[in-house]
Amino acid sequence: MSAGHVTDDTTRSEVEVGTDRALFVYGVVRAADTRGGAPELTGLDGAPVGFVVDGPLAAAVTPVSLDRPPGRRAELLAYQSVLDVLAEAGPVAPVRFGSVLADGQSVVEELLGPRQEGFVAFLDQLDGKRQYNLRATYVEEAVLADLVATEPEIRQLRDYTKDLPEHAGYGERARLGELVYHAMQDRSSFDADVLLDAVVPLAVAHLVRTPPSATQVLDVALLVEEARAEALVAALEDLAEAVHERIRMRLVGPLAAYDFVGEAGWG
Amino acid sequence: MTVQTQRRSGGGYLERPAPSGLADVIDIILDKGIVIDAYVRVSLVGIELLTIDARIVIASVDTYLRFAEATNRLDLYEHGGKDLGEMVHDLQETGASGKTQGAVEGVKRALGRGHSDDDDEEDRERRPAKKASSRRRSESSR
Repeated sequence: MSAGHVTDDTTRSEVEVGTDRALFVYGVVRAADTRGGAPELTGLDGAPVGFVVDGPLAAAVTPVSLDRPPGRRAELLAYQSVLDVLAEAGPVAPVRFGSVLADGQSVVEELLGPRQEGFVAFLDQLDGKRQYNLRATYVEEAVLADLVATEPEIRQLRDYTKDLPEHAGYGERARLGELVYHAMQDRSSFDADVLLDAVVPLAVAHLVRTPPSATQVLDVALLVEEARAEALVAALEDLAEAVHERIRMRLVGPLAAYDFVGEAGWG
Repeated sequence: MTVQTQRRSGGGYLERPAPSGLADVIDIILDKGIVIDAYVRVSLVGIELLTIDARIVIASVDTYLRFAEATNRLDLYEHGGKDLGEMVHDLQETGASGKTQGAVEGVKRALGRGHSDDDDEEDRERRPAKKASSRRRSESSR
């Protein structure tokens, strides 16, 4: 089953059909940033990371065997860690996980060459900036208590269903849950705006990753100047403390700019 | 749910996990990054499986019932009554910048922290009386 998956439809790389080696592509960096190479940096299957250079650009790649057995976790982790290490050294445009090209020539002809201008512009723009993912979720008990206190219909339904045996009051329970769910959604949209207003000035760009929902208020990617990273953390710490009885905040990063590369207009 | 909090700094209200778990990594990278034309890509065994996104949440009766249950499980307490806008506004007003404890205390007071302290006592008293009967639900850790 694992044989023959280099399918006949790879017409563009006919030369490669029949071979079982290809290049796993992680991301694109400026060639100037790769001068020291990437000693110690290993990717999928522990293979050392190399660079395919084309003019001002370089793609970080590792050789990969095409009929290797699938392994989910290790691949994802390797991919992310390569990109995050590269991002420590300089701007990097991540290539979507799982992108495999036949050889170095394909990397140049299909990836680097056609989009050279876009890559160069994006990487220059990204210089000195890192992505952070900020997430805010409700402390459910606190928000529910607040809803019971402020919404008469919710309070009534709760009082009615609270001590009923589990099999009784199904309709009322569903209605209660529906009211609570929608009230939390409304509140979440409102609170998301409040938090965003406080957070956006700390970043040079932001992207809402997931719209507000009943339980999650905010899931936003922030592009932040490295020099202002400490200020960001301090400000978010204050914000988290101010709202902690109702909202929990979680900051992940610095990361490679996974979310912002999609914005650059090359789909 | 275990939240691994590393590198907690200062007050520690902001969680700063190291994104080492599989779920975190998937959340960070899935569907992100530059797409290479499928026409020139070579397929790699098993990789496509990973693009399956299981994070679909549908508002259904089940969801509603879960919220109803959570509401009914509450031990009610009086809440501060400020909305989030006010909390954040207070914070900005006082220009809290990490070290201005006084201002943060002010926000806490406004949030009625005193009440929730009372509450904890109330909880402790109430809990034993509220025999969980047979409804042993594996509540996620709190």
